[in-house]
Amino acid sequence: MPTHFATTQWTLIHEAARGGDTAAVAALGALFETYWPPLYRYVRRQGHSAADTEDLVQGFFAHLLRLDGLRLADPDRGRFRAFLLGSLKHYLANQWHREHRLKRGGHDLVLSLDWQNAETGLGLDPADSASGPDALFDREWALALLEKVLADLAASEGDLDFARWKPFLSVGSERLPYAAIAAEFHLTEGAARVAVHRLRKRYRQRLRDEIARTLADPRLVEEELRSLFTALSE
Amino acid sequence: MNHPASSSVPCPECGKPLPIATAGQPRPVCPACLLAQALVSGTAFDPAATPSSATANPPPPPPTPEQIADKFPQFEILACLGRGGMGVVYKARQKSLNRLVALKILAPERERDARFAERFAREAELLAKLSHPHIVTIHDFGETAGLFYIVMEFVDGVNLRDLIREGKLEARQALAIVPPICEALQYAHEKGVVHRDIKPENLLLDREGRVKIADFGIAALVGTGDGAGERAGTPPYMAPEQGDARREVDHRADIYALGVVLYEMLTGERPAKDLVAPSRKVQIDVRLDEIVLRALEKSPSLRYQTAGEFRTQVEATLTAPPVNPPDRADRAPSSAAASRTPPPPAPALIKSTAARVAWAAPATAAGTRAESAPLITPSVGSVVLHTYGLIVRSGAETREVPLAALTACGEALPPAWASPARHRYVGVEFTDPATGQRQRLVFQPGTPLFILPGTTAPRAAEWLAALRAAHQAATGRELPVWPAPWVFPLRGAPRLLPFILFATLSCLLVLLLFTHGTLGLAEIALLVFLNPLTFALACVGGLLAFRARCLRHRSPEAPLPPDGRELPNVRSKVAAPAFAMAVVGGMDLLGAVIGLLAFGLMAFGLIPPIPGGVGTEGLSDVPLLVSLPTRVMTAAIFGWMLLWMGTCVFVLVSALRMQRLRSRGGAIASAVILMVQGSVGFAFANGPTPWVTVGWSVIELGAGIWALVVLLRRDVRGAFKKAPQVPGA
Repeated sequence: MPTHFATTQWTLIHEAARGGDTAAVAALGALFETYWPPLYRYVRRQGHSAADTEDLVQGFFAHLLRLDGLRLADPDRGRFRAFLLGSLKHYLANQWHREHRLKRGGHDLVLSLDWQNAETGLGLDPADSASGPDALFDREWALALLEKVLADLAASEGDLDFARWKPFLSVGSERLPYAAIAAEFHLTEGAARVAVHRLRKRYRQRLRDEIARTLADPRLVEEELRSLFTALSE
Repeated sequence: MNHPASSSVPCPECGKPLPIATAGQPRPVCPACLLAQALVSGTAFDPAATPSSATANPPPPPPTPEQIADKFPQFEILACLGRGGMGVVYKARQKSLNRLVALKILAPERERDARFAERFAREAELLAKLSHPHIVTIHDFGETAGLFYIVMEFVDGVNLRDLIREGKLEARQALAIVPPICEALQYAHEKGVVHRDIKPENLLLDREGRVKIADFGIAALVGTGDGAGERAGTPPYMAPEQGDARREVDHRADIYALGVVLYEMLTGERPAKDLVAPSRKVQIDVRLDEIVLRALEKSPSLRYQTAGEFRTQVEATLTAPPVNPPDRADRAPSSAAASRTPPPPAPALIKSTAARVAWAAPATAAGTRAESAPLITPSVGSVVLHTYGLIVRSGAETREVPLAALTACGEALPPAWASPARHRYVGVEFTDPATGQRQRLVFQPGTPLFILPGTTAPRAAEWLAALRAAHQAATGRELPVWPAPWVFPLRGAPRLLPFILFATLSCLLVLLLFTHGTLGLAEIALLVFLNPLTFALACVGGLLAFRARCLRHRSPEAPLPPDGRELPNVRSKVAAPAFAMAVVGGMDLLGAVIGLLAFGLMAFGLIPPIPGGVGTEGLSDVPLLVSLPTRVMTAAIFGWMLLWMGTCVFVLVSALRMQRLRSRGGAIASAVILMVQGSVGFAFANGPTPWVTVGWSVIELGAGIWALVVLLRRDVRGAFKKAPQVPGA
């Protein structure tokens, strides 16, 4: 929708941060809820224990929520993803000096983060550990994004039905077995084509909307999509 | 949550390990492929959502549903479906009937335009009368708070643009969409409504896969009616005449636009300025080329004249077996396996020519005389060499000979008595795929009236070389060549016989006139009876041949390949002077025949001789030396009349051939002959009715000059060169 043009969430945060707006805090919280697992695992891979990592990520988040971090000069602040990783690195580097000044859990906004779940991903990618932690971060970011998009889509489509249709989202349209789909869903072939197309269209729109949420400029959606795809296919 | 827990199961799309399936997800989905699918067609995805940096001034956003809700209390505005050049469309619920409708608000900037209001009412009324299963129904229209709106049937589906964006459609699916559209267009055209803006965005497919045309006549409605706006449309889909304010736009503009849509469905691209036949871009039935290119003709008169005609052609292609190289036709492009393997090279045209063609009975032994075989008569047709085979048309028959079926080739030669100039033909021996029998094909490239000796051999050699190269490329084997030219049993065309007879008799008469100095009973019989009879026979034969040729050219089977697309335009330019020349030539011929008859009758004494005329007195008693001048004069005048008759025939035939873009040299010669005849007649006008002679001379002169001027044009010259290479043109 054209309304994205001026108000992506990330732009909103940027603009609002200058005035310490509460809307920015809420917007940031919404983004963070989706995208913290890659951060968690990134910190874990740095060799911190699970408990320390929880503290560090919470601390980092608290730091961001106070909007201090948003004022940091960042060459790549157009993307929330790059900004988050850059800030996190910065934060980790400084945490020695900050640790004793942090009040753990002392902030008033508590996010419901499922730490246990973020932990499960860690041991499961031994083959990928050869690639650098930054690449892994991007990869996990892409997965978190997809997961959010699919979950949203499932919620709006009706869960049961969507689980059956979902596999067709990842198949090239020219290779889709329309005849088989038609048979499975008791549709005509033309109707199957239309149905799949519509689902894919909604999926793409959601994916793009979601990516646009994390960018300062929605024109970069295509580029971001490409870099996420590269991260996943490495 | 699904995290990259790799399983041993590879993704069928990219081959990377899939995430492990969990209880909630019976079928794991490969994340990389998921993103890839968003990328594939994403570039063109909803330009409004991702405005490119090129659009400096994005259009003002359409009013949101909330903004217009209070203007339409009778509707519940649900969502904005999109905007086009013609306005903004909302999905709405009509409260009174509790049905979903599409609400289109036209041209918001026209709010206060009284003339527009009047036209809107008139047009909308007409549009609302369209009731067809493949046309989006108009429920209501009107104006509220200065906004003109149309309430339409809500089609729950997608538009064709979305489907094309996913990549080109399979030919069968693309073709299946066309007939219902044609049906709807035909219906509307009969009611006098032209769509003017047929494009994929306006062709909707509902959830059952049914096609519906949206926005009928809206383009005309939104146009201003006074110039540029009247031409409203979408440029890539606009017929050439829509861009030209001086030209009339009619229903054939819709046929053009549908041609563009079909082209786009088949190839995934819009036709470029230099139109390339779809079969050269993608692997499809070559007959589709003809359909698409015909619809895309620049001149409306060359397109399908009705949507119904378009539909018939498409349906014929849908039901008929595909004309494709047999080893490729059975590969279904939809199957996953086929799309992985690299597609075989598209069939390409190597060489084509108009030709005299003959099918010979199974040959005895290569290189030997086949005297016992029945005589064969070549007929005019065409030979097209594709990368997969030969398509040979002779008369009304069209046959395909796959390259793989060829067994030998070489020069072919008619017997000396039939062709004293020893003209060379191209000979091909092949195993008929249908019957398994060996057969031969002979053809002579080009169909000129007269061929100089020695010019046919190089052309035959050229064709043989091309044929052997194509065969080598297609099969990997070398095609053997006959050691010596095959003398095939050519039978001269029987139509030539009266001409030969006529020429022989005429020579005989000149000779007799000279030796006898006068005409006896035998000569008179020859002159008055036999000679005109042979002449009449020759004329009838010629007319029959011409008629057969015309019929063949009108038959829908004669394809017009892309190279020949401009030929009809040139032909229409040439037609009028050619016709004039034919008429003048024909009248001259008639005059010559009457003159000859009169000459005979005068000699017979049935009509009085013209005073001062020659050769009418008996000279047998006069000594040869004394009578010699008279004899020479008489023979010369008679010879001259015969010669004149010959030139008249030549002019007539050349004019008819000129109309078909053949023998430019002959046509120029004819034009010059007419000019000379006209000048001579003009200069020496005498006799009882000099003004008739002068008038006729002026007509002759004019026809000659006109034809010459047209023939000297550059494009006409090019077309004459190209025409023989374009079969069917």
